[in-house]
Amino acid sequence: MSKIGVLNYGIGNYLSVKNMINHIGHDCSVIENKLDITKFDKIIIPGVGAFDTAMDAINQYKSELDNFVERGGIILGICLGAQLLGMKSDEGNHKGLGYIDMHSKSFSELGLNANIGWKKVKSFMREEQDLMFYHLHNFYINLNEKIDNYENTHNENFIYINAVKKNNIIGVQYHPEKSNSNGKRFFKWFCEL
Amino acid sequence: MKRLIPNLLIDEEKAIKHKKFKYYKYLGDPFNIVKILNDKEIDELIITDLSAFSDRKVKYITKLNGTSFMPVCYGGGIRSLNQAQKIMHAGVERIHLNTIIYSNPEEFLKILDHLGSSSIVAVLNIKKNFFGKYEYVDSFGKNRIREKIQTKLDWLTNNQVSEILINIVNKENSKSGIDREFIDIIENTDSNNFLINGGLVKEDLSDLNSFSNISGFVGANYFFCKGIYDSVLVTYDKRM
Repeated sequence: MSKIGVLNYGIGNYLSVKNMINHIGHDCSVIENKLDITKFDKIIIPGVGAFDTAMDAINQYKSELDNFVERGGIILGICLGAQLLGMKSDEGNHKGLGYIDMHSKSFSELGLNANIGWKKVKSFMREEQDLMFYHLHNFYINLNEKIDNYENTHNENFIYINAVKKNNIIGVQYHPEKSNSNGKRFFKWFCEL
Repeated sequence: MKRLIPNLLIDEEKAIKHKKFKYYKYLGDPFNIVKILNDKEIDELIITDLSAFSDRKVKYITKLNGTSFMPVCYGGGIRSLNQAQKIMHAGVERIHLNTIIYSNPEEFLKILDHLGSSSIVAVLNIKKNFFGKYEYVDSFGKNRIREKIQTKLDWLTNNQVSEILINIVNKENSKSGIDREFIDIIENTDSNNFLINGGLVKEDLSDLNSFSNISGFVGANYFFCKGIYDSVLVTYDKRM
């Protein structure tokens, strides 16, 4: 069984991720020390808040994460954690982790409200029907390269990218750890990858 | 999808119920209530904490939120950006702010700027006065804030606050139904991001989808107390 860790870099809801994975019968450890990253096969990067603050916090893990990606480890970024996988965000000035050529743009610049609440989405889980997941974000992913992705609709007219997958790097804009039973299905899929 | 949101009041790590802004009933251990709400697959949980801000409280919220598999919006006693950041680092999805909006709007804007507008829910307490006129009142529901409701709503909207929670003070614990008169006012504004709290009853649920500017109803009594004696019972009915 693969070793799964959730990164506690001071931003985001690592405990709900850990507890939900434990709840579905898989082991999940909290990674606090960057030297421990080598011990894992899959790493989850949660995230809530502002881009620059999160990059300031995660940059101390960057070289270990780079090595992890290089040796084929699987990374899952959640919400802001997904946006950190890209090159940059209009929300801040810092560079992202740079694993996917994408950058995050603001809904408000399009005159749209933040995307808050439960929405049906297609996901990499290849479920027969679309599942409801909880969303909470002001910024959306704008892809600059052609990779697997799923789209969603905001305010019934604007189509944005809701989930991305490039080889072993996965990002989802929604919060599976806060999406009750659908979140459990999502993490079951992720744990069994 | 419109949301139905229980508002769980906690004080010194105990879940309680208020009546007219005073202690009314002990509901139980917040950890147990969160576990029950997990099983009921609720849309979102608002936690309102009455105890003073402390690092111990942050640790407690980190643990409590960690057991929650539903989105959590936490608030109570947050007076500065530093405190707001600590609570966000505890992993809650959003924080709700009330007092700081009128007592220190500059600090409120700082929080909004640093944490991002999607992380903030602005709370306004609204009270109908003796003459039947709505007033913006303080977080204790007592003293009038000398600012027009519409001016405050415009200010929040202009600053791109993602959601505004309206507490109708007169309706608190009334079980008399959501305040339709105030909803009419909201339905005539340009914003469509309001949550309404106060007086929620079962009959309100079927109407929620018909309000274009309301994104959800919030309640406490409806979700935590039952019957004429307000016996403690955690319930959640998703059918609208």
